[in-house]
Amino acid sequence: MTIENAEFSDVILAPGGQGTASDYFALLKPRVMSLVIFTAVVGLVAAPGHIHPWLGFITILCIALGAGASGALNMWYDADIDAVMKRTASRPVPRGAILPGEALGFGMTLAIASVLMLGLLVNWQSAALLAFTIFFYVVVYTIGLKRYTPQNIVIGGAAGAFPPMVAWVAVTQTVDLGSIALFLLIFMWTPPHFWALALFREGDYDKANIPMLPNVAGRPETRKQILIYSILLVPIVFLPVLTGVAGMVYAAGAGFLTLVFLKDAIDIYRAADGPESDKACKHLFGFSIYWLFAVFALILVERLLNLPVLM
Amino acid sequence: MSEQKPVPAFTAEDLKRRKKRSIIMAWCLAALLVIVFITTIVKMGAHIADRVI
Repeated sequence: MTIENAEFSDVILAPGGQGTASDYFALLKPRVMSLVIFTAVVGLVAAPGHIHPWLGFITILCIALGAGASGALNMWYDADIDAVMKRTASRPVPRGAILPGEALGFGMTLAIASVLMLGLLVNWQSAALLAFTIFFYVVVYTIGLKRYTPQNIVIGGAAGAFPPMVAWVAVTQTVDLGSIALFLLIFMWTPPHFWALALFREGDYDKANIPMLPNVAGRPETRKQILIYSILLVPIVFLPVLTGVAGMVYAAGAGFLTLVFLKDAIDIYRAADGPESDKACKHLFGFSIYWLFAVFALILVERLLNLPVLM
Repeated sequence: MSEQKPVPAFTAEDLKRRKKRSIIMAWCLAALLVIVFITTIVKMGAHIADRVI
């Protein structure tokens, strides 16, 4: 029955079914997905061994679908807090374009489809790791950690670090040191990246009652933690060299970029509260995205040009 | 006689959106079909003709 041929008193507007295709696309968190796809491609190319290009494409497609599923399930569960945060209030679920149940169904369908496809078409080792990644992001991070501990993104950061490892396992069928090195790059990068965001969006997280480090431990402690994690990133960035994944070009480029990262972290540590601090945080936040892209791009270029690795 | 319950209704705009979503879903299913078919061929490789008839 359409609204035109019914008595007005008989009609209530249909609950749900109003989302457009682009609303559903937004549920996949396409910007996050683009970084996931890129790091997964690097994992696929850097892994020792051979995979048929078509199966490589299927692997990346499944990882992208899995990342999209995680995004949709995250938006289903977090609709209440997304609604009160400026950065997320226009997402499809808090905006009312898509009902939470629709987001849940969409996310679960994609999650199951991506894992089954990867398992049936490529191998079950990588499918199991993809399933664990989705589980980790949705259940461990979104449902378990995010609302209860300021360590949410330290532990939850693992979810974002798994994609290159999933791609690696698609090639080698095993988790080895090289894949752990790629994992650690993203894992160590996540806390300073998100804490820099949290420092200049502190009010948003406070309003949503999310225990991010700045509103639980305070701004000085957050600045100190950003600096500590950035210092830890310096040895971590050389792990791909020590595990035979990357060579001299990577070592020089990534080493330089990490020193710039460290300098930005020192700027945040030294900055006084106010506009100076906000500026330093925004700078590190922006640069950290570039850092992740550039570091993985260096590995990709080295492997594509077949440059020698050191180990 | 029991009171008639209000009927959920879709506006013309809702129906248009639903049609677009359905078309995209149909394309996705067709793509899945193609993906499985090509993957089967790729996995069978050179042995594609070696089968019991």
